[in-house]
Amino acid sequence: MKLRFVAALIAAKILMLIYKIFNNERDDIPGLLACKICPEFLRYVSKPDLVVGVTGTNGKTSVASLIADILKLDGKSVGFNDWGANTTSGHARCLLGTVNIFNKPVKDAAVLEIDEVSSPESIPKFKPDYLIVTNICRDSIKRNAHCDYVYGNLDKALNIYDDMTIILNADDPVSFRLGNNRKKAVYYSIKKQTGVNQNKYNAPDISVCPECFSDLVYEDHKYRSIGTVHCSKCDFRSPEAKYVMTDYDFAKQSCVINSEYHRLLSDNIFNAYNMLSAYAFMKEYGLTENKIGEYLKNISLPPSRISMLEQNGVQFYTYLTKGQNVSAASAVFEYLSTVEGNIQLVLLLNEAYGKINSSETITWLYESDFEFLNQPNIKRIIVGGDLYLDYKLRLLIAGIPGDRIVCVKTEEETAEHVFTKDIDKVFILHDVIAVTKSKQLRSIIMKKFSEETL
Amino acid sequence: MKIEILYPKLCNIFGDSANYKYLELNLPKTQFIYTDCNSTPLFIKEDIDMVYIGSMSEKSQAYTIKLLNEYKEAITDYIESGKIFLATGNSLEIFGNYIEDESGEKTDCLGIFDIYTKRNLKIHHNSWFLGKYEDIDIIGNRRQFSFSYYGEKTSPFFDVKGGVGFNKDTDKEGIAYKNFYATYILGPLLIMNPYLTKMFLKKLNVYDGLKFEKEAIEAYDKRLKFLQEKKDFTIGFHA
Repeated sequence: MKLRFVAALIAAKILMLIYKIFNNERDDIPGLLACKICPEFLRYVSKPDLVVGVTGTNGKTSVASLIADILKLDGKSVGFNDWGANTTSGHARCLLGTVNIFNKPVKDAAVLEIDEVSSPESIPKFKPDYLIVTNICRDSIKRNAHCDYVYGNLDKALNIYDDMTIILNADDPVSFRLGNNRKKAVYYSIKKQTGVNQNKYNAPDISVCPECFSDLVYEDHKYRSIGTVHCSKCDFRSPEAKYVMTDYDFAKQSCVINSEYHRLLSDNIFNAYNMLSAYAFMKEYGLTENKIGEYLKNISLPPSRISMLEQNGVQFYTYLTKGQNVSAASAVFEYLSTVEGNIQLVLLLNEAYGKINSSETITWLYESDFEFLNQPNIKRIIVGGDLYLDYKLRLLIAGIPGDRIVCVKTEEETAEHVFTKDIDKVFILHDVIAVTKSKQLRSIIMKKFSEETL
Repeated sequence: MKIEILYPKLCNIFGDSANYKYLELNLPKTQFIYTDCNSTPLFIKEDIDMVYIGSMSEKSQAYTIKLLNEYKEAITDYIESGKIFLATGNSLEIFGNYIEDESGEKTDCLGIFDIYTKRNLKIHHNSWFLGKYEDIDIIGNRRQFSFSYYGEKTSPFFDVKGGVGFNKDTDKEGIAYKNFYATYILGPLLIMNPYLTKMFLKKLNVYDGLKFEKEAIEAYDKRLKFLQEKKDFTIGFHA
């Protein structure tokens, strides 16, 4: 096996060099080759002094990015699979970059975003020092099936290897159970009382106690299934958190964590959780409060998530909203229901089901909470693409008046239907693969506003 | 009229709740009863016109079998009485003889229908489905870890026209017996299939057009055409 590992390392390093010459460094193929030659490559490759894993359904890219930035600010050289390759070959490619040809570490740290479904194949092999689990929620059903399945896979990974600090979201009743009977589990929580959440969800991520199937009672309900909870019958309840955000102010971008004021990196609750998990890591890693405060002033969320441009008092957003990912999409819809001002939405969440690389089902449309978009200040919702008739029906069933819905055959046509009068904000909700497209569409819409409102 | 939804908090993992929500939209005068895990199903003791149960996780499936096992005879009586029962996704498996997992371990089910199920959590099956029931073209989505196998006495629901049947070796799918209907199609079956929904509403003697009928039929027609032209029903890559 050792010989195979050496062959894999040399072959993959040569391939990396070729890719570098062709300016294509962010490709998994060298990692894939390494694992093909030596299936245990991840086990044998030397690791930097610090390995941080980030997994969970939502927020792992944001959290991993924050942690990589923090470590860089702390003077570390960091390897990070920031190109979205979060399975075995991506991890191998990332770790190839942290060792030399003699398998000696050349970087101080590796930050690895880990796909939660395939985690039993990766976590026990590269044995991170810290593992952050953001949450377990409903996602694309093709790979992730359902929350019990994802939980089972992560639990399996931790049953093989758990000798690390596991940082868990105490407000996520699906994933916090991963800390049960683990030696080094710590939790974070947001305790600012937001009142009783009266929102109804089509398909919550957890509806009954996972131990006894009785009803869950929320003491403090943030969104979807996130909040402080206990079972109406048995002992199941949210664990006590070591890191607690007791207050936050989105407008002022400030928050209080464990009695210290910090800059809040986001204007929404789900990114407040992402930031808090990064904070928990910093504390566990041993950074001082002063350094944490300083670093938080100098980092931001990855730019592909949310971007806003302002023109003549109108705000134009591109907003990542993962299609098929029920929990992420619903959280964005819920957030939009709280946004003030006259809004127009353009949805680039279309799955081109007629094409070769088409995606899966329309089941997610009915798990997701489009009902949140039925707000008087959301003046028009425009959808384009192959599923336009499915969207039309879905939005009507969500109770949205027909005169506010425009569904057209192609995404390109959507800009034509944006109206420019008395609008404060335009949101373009886009999938991961449509970042560039959303920005191009925003330019067209902004031009239209500029021409028609002059 | 009364429609009972069995264990909606457990049995709603793939958008199956859309089925009864669409029925609610169409039947504003009907009483919908949502039976939770700690309650006795109402159709056991009261006159219920239709019962629905949707998809669930494997863990929930084991618990649901345990819950319903107590009422096995009453469920059989309800089905024999000709009342409507609709089961979508893997809920159909609980009415069979047993579920066998990849290790060979068997979980006994209700044994109401002569079918058995083999499950393998390492194999994900995702596909489109095109079938026929009487003169109705049926479309839908499949997503499952398991397939079921017919015994001698079980009659299928659909003839398969595209995609996979009850298992990969049969061109039949689901179970239809009197007014008990079960299919592996999951999610919004009744929204995707307006003609099937009409059939159920007619059986209930309450059909008076469908809510958003025009839009539902337009979406159905487009997808039906897409599936009739399709050769590979496997569902493709998603990042």
